[in-house]
Amino acid sequence: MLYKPSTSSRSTSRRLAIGGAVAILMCTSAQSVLAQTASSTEEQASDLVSSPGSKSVPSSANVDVSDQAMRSATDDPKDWLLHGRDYSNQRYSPLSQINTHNIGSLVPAALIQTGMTASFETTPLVIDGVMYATTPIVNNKMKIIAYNAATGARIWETTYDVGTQKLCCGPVNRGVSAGYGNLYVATSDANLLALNAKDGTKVWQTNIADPQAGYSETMTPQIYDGMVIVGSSGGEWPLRGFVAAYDAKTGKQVWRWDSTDPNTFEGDSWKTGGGMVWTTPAIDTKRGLIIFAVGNPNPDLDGESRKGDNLYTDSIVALDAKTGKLAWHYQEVKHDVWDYDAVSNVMLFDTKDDKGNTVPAAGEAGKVGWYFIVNRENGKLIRKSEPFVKMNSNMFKAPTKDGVDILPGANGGAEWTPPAYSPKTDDVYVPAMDQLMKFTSDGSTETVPGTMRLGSTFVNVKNNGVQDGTFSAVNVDTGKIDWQYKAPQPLIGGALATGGDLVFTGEGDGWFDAFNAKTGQKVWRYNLGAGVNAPPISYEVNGRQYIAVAAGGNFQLNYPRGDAIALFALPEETTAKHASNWNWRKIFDFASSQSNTKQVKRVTN
Amino acid sequence: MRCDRANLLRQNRTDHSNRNTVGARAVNYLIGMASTNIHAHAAVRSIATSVSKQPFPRRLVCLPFCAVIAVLPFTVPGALAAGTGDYTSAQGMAGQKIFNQSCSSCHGSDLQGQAGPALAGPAFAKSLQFSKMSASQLYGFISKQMPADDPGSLTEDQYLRVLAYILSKNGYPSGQTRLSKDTLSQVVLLPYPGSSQARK
Repeated sequence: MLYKPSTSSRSTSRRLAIGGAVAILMCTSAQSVLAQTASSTEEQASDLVSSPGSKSVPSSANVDVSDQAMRSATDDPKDWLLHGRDYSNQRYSPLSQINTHNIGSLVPAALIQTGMTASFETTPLVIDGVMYATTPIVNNKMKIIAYNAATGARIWETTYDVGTQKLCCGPVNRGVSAGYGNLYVATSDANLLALNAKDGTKVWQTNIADPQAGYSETMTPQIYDGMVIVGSSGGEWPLRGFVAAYDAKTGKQVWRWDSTDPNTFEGDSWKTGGGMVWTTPAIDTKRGLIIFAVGNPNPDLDGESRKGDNLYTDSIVALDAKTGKLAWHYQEVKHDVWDYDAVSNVMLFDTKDDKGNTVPAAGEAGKVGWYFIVNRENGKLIRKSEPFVKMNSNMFKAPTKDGVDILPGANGGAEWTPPAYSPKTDDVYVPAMDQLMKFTSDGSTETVPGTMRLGSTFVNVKNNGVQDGTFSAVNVDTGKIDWQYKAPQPLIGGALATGGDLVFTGEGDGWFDAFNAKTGQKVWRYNLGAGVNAPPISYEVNGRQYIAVAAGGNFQLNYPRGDAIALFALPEETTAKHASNWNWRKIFDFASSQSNTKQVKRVTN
Repeated sequence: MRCDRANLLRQNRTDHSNRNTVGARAVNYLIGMASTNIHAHAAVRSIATSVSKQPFPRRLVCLPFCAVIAVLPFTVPGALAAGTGDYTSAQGMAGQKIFNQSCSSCHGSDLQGQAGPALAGPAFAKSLQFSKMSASQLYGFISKQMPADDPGSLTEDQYLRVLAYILSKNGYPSGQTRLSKDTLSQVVLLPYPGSSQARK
């Protein structure tokens, strides 16, 4: 996985962010929005982890999060307990208080300002009314913060002083995980922290890998059966990727699986052959499998030194959760030289095979532009979807000295962005992008420890280059695209599906959109000023459903930065009459936006 | 350039991965990294290398002696600062403008690192010590892969100026010789000069 920032002006971005923030304040002042002012002072760094003046979460809040609670997270509609809400990574909330009938009344309930303005990719957790979120890294500091999930009021915050970090794709962190009374955070300097969920104080810290060599951590760990499971980031450096499990109580490593197979790499190239695991695995609890996506081989864009299929790069991989041994794999792209990682979160669901039988499946939205669905029993491909992005005739041509213009570009397709799935439609909702890129070989394959080794370059094609986005409803039973929204900019961030027949995603220009999950009709949007490039979540506190999303822009695509987490809900006094009288939808021009949604007749077997 | 020997040794003792360079680095500090004559550099490095092969305690013991021997044939550091370094100050100044336009959004306005890695100070020093990267390799990487959003888009002269700016921010001496692709191989990055930033 590697970023390619756009070339738009930073100052323009800042102006957009400021303008958007002003707009938000104007729009929300009448709605009693709680805008919490961030602390203007940074803490003195006396320790790696500091929690100055922390308060504890309410004693009534349950922070224990047992194995049983995690296994049954699907059945707990109120909380967002795990990174993907449950072990399936479906990002489907069954809550339906906010639905297609009243979505027009959705308004901001609180606007949390973290005070950490940078590329913002976090998925907050919400457990018993408390929200836990991580911030990006700013001036070598990252915060882990607990909020009241209904009001946005800050409960405690812990500041982590980041050491050496080498990051390809922005100073990002994708969130905390929770279990056994602790929060777990993987840091950009490749450490793993356990914090007390009540007050944010440090319980233990362990090093995962050497950040000086280029290892980093951007993912949210997964918690399962007493273990904290992490992958590794740093696929642009000459490294070998891995997944490792740590004892949740002590931080001691339980097992480690290395992601390159020596038999499929030329010579010793497997030792630095890449294969990073950037995103949180799904867990098949019935089969005891950890299932995840493995990223690109290294050098990213030159395969001369690593001839072979380069397993298990660009693959969906399942490991035995107890031992870390390989159970099965499916490789999406053999011998990749385009940075076509498998990098977005693997998701679990049931699908139909060609004979109409129900099959347990795992799916992944590839940077290569197809949604891959494999059998969870053995990893065999069931189907891959129609392309959800544009593909040109140069696709899969090797980079040359003169350069080759290729679609999809090196960001995809689907980047790290987690899709969502609705069991009510059997659709996976995939945010993705079209970026026409020129791949030019430059012979830069020399290995210098701790230094990026790409092997070539890629750059957005200027003047008439393709730069747009797609939000696609991919039917898992057919592989067909049921509907597709065409966005004016590449999409990166994430999706949410709800029991209210809604799907949400964000855009780089600040819009946070809701669609009818069945039809693709855009039914609501709100501009947050900064790019909405993080996955939304939904939860319930005191009988009120909330939608929350971080809005801090994105480094990879240079979308306007911000520092906010926005909470949306229906007005507390909502009635059908109120909703019809006070309809935010009227202020938006839907004519143009709806015309961007392509209706595709659903095809069934 | 001021030599903060105590700080230097304290820093080196904590740098376990680079213990064999302790003597070499100390000698360089003691004679002053403002030394800008390439031949003087080579002589110093020769002494430093021989020192670095000694066991750790013995190296420390011989440091003052070696330092004196090393300094004697050369001029004082203040005079050396005006000598012939690896780049000209004009190149460094010109490189700052290019850096601010094309690089600072990722690497920070003071090269301290943000989304991109630090290019000056202790973090950069550690990175150099880990990678053992030569100036030619550093130039090669920058000129082929940077700026990240448009790699290779600057001219050769612009990349050299940016490199000159990076060198200047890390305390490498400037001089009368323009940095060029032909002189890159003569630029010695390690031992790291230990600018005031590095000793913080």
